[in-house]
Amino acid sequence: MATLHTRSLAKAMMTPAVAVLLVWMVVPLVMTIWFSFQQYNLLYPERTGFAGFTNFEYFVTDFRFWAAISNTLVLVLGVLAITSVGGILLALLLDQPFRGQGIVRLLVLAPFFVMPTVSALVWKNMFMNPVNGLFGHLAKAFGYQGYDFLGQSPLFSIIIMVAWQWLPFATLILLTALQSLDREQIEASEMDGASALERFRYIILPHMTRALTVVILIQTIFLLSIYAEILVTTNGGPGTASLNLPFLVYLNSIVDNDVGIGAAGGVIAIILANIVAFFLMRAIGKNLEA
Amino acid sequence: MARSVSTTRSAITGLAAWTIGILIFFPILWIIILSFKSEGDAIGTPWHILTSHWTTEAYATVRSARTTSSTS
Repeated sequence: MATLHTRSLAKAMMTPAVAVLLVWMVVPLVMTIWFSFQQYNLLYPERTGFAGFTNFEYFVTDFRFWAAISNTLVLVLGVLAITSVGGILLALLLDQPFRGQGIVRLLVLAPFFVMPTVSALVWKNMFMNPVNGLFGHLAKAFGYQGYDFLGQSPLFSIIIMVAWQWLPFATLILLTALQSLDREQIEASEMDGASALERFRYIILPHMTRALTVVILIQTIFLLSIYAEILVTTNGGPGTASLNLPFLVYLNSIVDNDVGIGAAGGVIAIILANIVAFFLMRAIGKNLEA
Repeated sequence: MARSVSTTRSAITGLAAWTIGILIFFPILWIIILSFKSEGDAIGTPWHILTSHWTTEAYATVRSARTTSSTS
């Protein structure tokens, strides 16, 4: 019953919400772009005015820039690999009937509700500390020296922390996908003599692709902006070993007080995120249709 | 869950699932245990942590908003 009248009424009633969302989105974006072309250093308030592309030039020619880009990619891809493979395996396991299924699902889900800062502190001080951490004590019990995780392989340690946090999310989404799979299909394939591996490859995995797409997309969005774990544990170090793009923006705009360069970094991060999203959507977007 | 599964198989999957579940949950469990220990006991060996005196002094410190040392 959408007459012309009701349709214009609906538009009028939607306008406030759309306007608020638009302002919410556009104002910070425009301000970031505006600042990125300005000379704006909190330590030198007298230096103002249009800066052209010098902020961008400074950010891109920074010796930390390429390290930040590659670390961001390694971080995102590493966590994605661990969580999607681990999530599939865990979902398959938790889908089997066994005693205490609900409790185990709750246990597996729990890390997702721990704040990033807290989880980073727990991992840093209680587990990965070479002297006082649990891993250090275990190593000592077996006669080895404690391994300095955050000093020797900082990026790997951060991948472990973040993967621990995001594994429950992947497991949850994939488990719900698995539960919507028709049991009769499995039974039919069993009757036709399909082995467990074939069942997984040709029935279960195709059924899960859409859920897997959602997991990968959502995780990529959040993993590109990982920041708290790095700030709490390594501060981007040693050197540039665990520096990612958001953290480099933070270093420029907060630590070095240069809002202009930080904003330029933010714009570059937005562009890179859009490039990644474009390829991601093209590569797996066809799974979302149909 | 219409299909019946042999008891041995369900026992094996149950054991595996419980092991993995507890492993994944372990950091949270560990931090809960450590929250009931004094600062000196909390950095001891795991055996020392489990057997040392239980206390709520960490919670009292948080409640009185008196930070003894900065973390990080």
